[in-house]
Amino acid sequence: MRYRLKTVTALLVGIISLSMLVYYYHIEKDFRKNYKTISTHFNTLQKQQEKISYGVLQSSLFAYYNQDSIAKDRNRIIDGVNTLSQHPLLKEKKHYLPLKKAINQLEKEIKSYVELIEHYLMINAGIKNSMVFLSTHEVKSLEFFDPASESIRTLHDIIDSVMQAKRMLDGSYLKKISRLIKEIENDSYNKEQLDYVTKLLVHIRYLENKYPLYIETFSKIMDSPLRNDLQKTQQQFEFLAEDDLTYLNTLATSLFILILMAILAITILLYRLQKENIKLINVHNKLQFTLQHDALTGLFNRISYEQSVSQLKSPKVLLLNISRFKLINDFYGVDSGDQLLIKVSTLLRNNIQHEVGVCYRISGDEFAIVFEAQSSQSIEMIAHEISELLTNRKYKLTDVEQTISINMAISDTKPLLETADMALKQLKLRPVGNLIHYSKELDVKEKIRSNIEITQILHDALNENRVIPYYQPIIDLKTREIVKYEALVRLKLKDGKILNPIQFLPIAQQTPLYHEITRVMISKTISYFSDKPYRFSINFGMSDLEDDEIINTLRGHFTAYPEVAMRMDIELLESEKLTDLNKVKNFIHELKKMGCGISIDDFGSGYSNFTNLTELRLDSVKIDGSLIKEINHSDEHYKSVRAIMGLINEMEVESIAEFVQDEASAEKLSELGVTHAQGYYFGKPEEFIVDL
Amino acid sequence: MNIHSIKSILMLGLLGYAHILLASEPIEPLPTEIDYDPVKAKIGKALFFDPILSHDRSIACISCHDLDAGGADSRPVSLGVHGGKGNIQSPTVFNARYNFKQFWNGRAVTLQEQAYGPIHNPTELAMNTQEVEERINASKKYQALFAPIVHEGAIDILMITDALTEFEKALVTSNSKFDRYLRGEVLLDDSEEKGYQSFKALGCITCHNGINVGGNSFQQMGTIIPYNYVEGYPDRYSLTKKEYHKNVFKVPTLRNIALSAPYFHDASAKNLRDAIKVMSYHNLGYIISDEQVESLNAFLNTLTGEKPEILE
Repeated sequence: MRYRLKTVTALLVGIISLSMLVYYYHIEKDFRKNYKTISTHFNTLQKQQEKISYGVLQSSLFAYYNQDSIAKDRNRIIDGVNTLSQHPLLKEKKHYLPLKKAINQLEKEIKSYVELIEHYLMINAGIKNSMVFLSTHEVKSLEFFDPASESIRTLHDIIDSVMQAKRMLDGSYLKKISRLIKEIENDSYNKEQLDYVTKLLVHIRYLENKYPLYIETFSKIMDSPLRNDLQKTQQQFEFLAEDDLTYLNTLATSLFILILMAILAITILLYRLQKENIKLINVHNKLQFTLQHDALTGLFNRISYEQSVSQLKSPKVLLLNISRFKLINDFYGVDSGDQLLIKVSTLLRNNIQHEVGVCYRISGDEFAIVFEAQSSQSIEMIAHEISELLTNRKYKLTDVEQTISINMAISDTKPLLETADMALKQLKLRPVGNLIHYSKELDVKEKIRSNIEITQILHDALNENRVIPYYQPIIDLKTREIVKYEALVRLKLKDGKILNPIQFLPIAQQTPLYHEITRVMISKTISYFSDKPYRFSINFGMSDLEDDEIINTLRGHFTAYPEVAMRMDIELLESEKLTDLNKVKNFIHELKKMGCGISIDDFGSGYSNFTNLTELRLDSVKIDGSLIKEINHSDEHYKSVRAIMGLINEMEVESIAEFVQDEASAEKLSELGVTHAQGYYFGKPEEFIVDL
Repeated sequence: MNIHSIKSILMLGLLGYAHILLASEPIEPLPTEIDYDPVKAKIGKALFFDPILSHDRSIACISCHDLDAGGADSRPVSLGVHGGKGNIQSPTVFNARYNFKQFWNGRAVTLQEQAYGPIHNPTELAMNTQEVEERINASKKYQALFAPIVHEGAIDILMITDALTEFEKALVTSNSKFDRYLRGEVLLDDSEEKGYQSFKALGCITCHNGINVGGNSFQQMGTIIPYNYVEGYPDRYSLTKKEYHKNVFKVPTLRNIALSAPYFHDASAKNLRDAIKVMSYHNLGYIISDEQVESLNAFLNTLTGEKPEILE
C-alpha cells in the first residue's frame, strides 16, 4: 500500500509538473504573442502618426503634393487603433482594464487627430492656392498701377505681410493688413484697376480670415499630445505586462524549484535504490554462499559439487570417508564428531591448493576432492599425502584425543560420486589398503553384489558345479613347515573369473543356498583330501551344524573315509545366532569323537562367546585377520593380539594367525607365542595343492 | 511645441522665400495589372447587373452606376425603387478602390461597407439583410455561382458584399492617355500640355492629386468664394455637425470625368467646361479665360481610361 501511495504520488507530482510546464509554455507563448502584437501595434501607430505629421509638413511646403499616402495613413491609424482596442487581451484580463480605457481614449484622440489633419488639409489647400494666386498676380500690378502710387505700395505691403506670415508661421504679421485692406478699399480705381484689386482682395481676405485658423490647426497637429499619449499608453501597457511577466517568472521559478526537487528526489531515490541493491546483492551472495557451502565446515557442499562438476569436461574425484566415524559420533557425541569433521575439513582446505583440486563435503563424513587437470597418478600421490596428513595425527576432541583412518576412492567415471562410492564399498571388503581406483571391473563386482544377481549366480554356479574350494597352506611358525590347508570357498564365474567368498557369502548366508555351499565344500574338500596325506580344515557357520543335511553329509563321508575325519578340522564361525545350541554341541562332540579338530574362526572380531568356547574343548583358535593385518603398524592392534594370545595360552590351544603379509609380522606373532600362521606371505589360496 | 514642430519651423525658415516647393509629379498612373479574386468578381458582376438586390426587382447597381456613362448616373439624382429620388448625384464606381473613403461625404471607408449602403437605403434598393440573403440563397443561379467559395452553410450578406467589392476592384480604367504620358509612352498635345500646366499652376492639383486625381481628401465646395449651401444635403456636416463641414465633400476623382456628366454633388454643371469654370471661381478664386478652360478641358479628357477587362 505504501508503495502504491508512493507511486501514485510520484505520478501525480509528475503530472502536475508536466501540466505546469505545459501551462507555462502555453501562457508564455500567449504572453509573447500578445506582447509582440500589442507592441507592434503601438509602434505602428507611432510610426503612422509620425508619417502623417511628416505628410502634413510636406503638404504645407510642396506646391504639388500627392495626398494618397497621408490619406492611406489616416485610414490605417484608425484601423490600427480599432484593432488594438479589440485585442482579446484587453477583454480577457481584468488588470488590463486601465489599458483598455486608455486605448479607448487613444481611439477618440486619433479620430480627432485625423479630423484635425483633414481640416488642416482643407485649409491648407485654400491657403496654398491663394498664396500661389497672390504671388502670380502681384507681378501683374505694374500692368495697372504706377509703381510709385500709394495703392501699389499698400498692396505690396499687404502681400508682403501675408508672405511673412506664411514664412514665419506667425499670424501677427497679418494684424496690420485689415487696416491696409480698408485703405485699399477706400482708394478709387479705374475699372481695370478695380477688377484687379477685387480679385486680389478675395484672396487677401481669405488669407486674413483663414490664416489664424491655419496656424492654429498646424500648431495643434505639431503639438498634438497624441505622440506622447501613444508612448505613455505603450509604457502603461509595458508596465501592466510587467505584472504578467512577474507572474511568468514566479511560475518559471516554481517550476525550476519543482524540477530541481524532482531531480533531488530522483537522486535520493536512485541512491537508496543503489543501497538497497547492494544489500540485496550481499544477501544474494550470502544465500549463494549458504547454498553452495556446508554450514558446518565451510567447504563447498554437494549442490555446489553438482554444479561445478557438471561444468567440467573430464573431472576426476577423490572420495574420502573416515572409517568408523559413526562410532566416534555414537561414542563421544555429535559435538566431537562435528569437531573432527571441522578439523578434517580445515586440513583438507589448507593443504589442497585450489588450482589443484577443490574440496567438497558431500555428506556426513564423506568428502570429495574434484580434480580436472591432474593425472590419475598425481591424484594417487595426493591421496597418499592426504592419507598421511589425516591419519598421522591426533585429533583433540572435547575430551579425548583420537586418531582416525580413512578410506579413499578415485574415480573418473561418471557419475563420479556413485562410482567412487561404489569403489569405497569395495575397498571396505578388501583386507588391506585405504585407496581404491574405480574400474569397470569393480563395476561388475558391484553388480554381483546385488542380492538377486548374486543369488542367481550362486544358484547357477551350484548347478554347474562352479563352487569350488581353494586351499591355503597353514604353517607352523617355528618350523615354517606346512602343517595343513584351509579350504576356502571360491565361485568360478562363467568367464572363468574367481570370486572371493566376501563377495557372495554374506548374501548366500541369507539364503538356503548357504548350506548347499557348505555341503559342496565338504564333499569336494573331503573328496580332494581323501587321497592326500595333508591335514585340512573346512569352515562352518554355527547354523551349518544345525542343518540335518550337512550333518548327514558329513556322517556319510566319515563313514566312507573314516581315516579322513582324523585329518580334518572344523573352523567354526561364531558370528551367527544359534537357535539350537545343544544340537550343535552334540554334533561337535560327535565330530570330536570321530577325530575332527575344532577351531574358532575370526577370534577377536567381537563376536566370540567365551562361555560357549570353554564348553567346546577347542583344539585351536584363529585370530581375526583384521588385527593381524595392522600388527606391524598399529600398537593398538599389537596389544589386542597380545591380549588375545594371553587368553589363548590360558585355554592351552593352538593359535593360528591369518592375513600374515610379511616376515616382520610373522616374527612379531612368533614372539607373541602364536603357533601357526597363514597369509599371502606363506602362500596364497590355490585350486590345487602342488606337491613339492 | 515638440521636436517635430521645431523641426518643421526650422525647415520653413530655411526654405524661406521659396515658400512653395516642388515635388515629383503629384499624379500617379493606374496600374495595368490589377489584383482581385476573379471567382468572386464574377459573382459580383452578376449581382451588379441583377435587380434581385432591389426590393421590387426593378433596379440594380448598374441602374445608377452606368458603366458606359463613366460609372455614374447621367441623371441629376438617381431613381430608387418605386421611383424614389436620391438626394445626391451618384459618384462613379470606376477606380473607387483608390478612393480613401466612399460616398460623397466619406461615410464608408471600404468598398464593402459602401456596397451595404445602397442595398439597404430605403430610397435606393430598399432591402434588408435577411431579404437579400433569402433571395440569393433561393436563387439557383447564385447557388451555382457561390458554390466554389461557399462550402458549408448559407450565403450571407458579407459574402455578397465581398463579391461586389471584388467586382468593383476589377473596375479600374487603366492606360488613359495621361497615364501613358506619365509612363513616358506618349506625348500630350499642346492644348493638353497647357491644360496640365494650368491644372498645376492654378492649384487644382492641390486637391486633385494622387492615383485617382482626387479621392484622397475632403474639401469644401467654395473654398475661396462661398458656394450655394442647401440645408440637409448629405455633406460632411450631415455626419459631423461641424460648422466648417458644411458643403464639405470628398474631393471626387477626375478620372473619366469627361464621361460622367452632370457634375458636382448637385449636378449643377451640365458639362465639363462649366464645371471647370465653377470650380475655378469658387475653389480657386479665379475667373479663368476661355483658352484656359479649353486647355483644362483637353487635359481632363486625357484622363479617360480603357474599359476594364472584366466588362469585355
